[in-house]
Amino acid sequence: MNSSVIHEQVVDVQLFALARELTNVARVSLEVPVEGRPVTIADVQHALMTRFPRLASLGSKLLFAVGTQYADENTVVQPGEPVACFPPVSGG
Amino acid sequence: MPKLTEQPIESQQLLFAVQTTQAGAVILFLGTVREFTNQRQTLALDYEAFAPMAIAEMERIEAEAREKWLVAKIETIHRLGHLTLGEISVGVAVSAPHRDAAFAAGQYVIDELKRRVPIWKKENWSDGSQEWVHP
Repeated sequence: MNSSVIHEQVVDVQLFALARELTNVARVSLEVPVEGRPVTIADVQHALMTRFPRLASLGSKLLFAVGTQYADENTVVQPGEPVACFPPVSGG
Repeated sequence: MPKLTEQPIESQQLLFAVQTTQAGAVILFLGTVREFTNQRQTLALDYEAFAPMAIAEMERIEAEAREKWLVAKIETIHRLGHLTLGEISVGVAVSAPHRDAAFAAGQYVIDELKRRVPIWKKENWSDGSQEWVHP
């Protein structure tokens, strides 16, 4: 193993509402594999679904944010940036 | 200035906060806890938010409204926690020189809030069940 090569990026994910209840966690640190390109929300989503299969019931409805901005599957997650995962919003 | 609160929303304070001699029009929208949704009866609602993003998103919405219409002041506030029937869950107050802008901006702010701001509502139905509401 070459110690100069980074194999994974730890991404801190906060979960809300039904996403939190389905996983039983409000926050999780995910080890997302790094595959020679920046980590994206699609990578985080894949790691999250693998760790918490029950999230599949929300499927494509799950929303993501990086920091305090909505993100799509192509959004890059820089090391240390927090990610949020939640169902469609229902305030008001 | 957007706010989140766990205390009851005081509608009169919202009105005072936007009133100014620059405005000839003041509008107030209140969202309140409704008892019946179709045939189902609600006992209470629980609201939660991703607070820092909710505030940031409400600030963006207020800024967009200011770009689109000539408004004097905007106040947006959302209640969190456990709300019983009739309580105010959300308040939007807008003042503007003229009523058209006040109504249009107020409608924009509440519509965008419901579409984008990360706040979630859980129904406590009269049959004892609970359910997250997802559009």
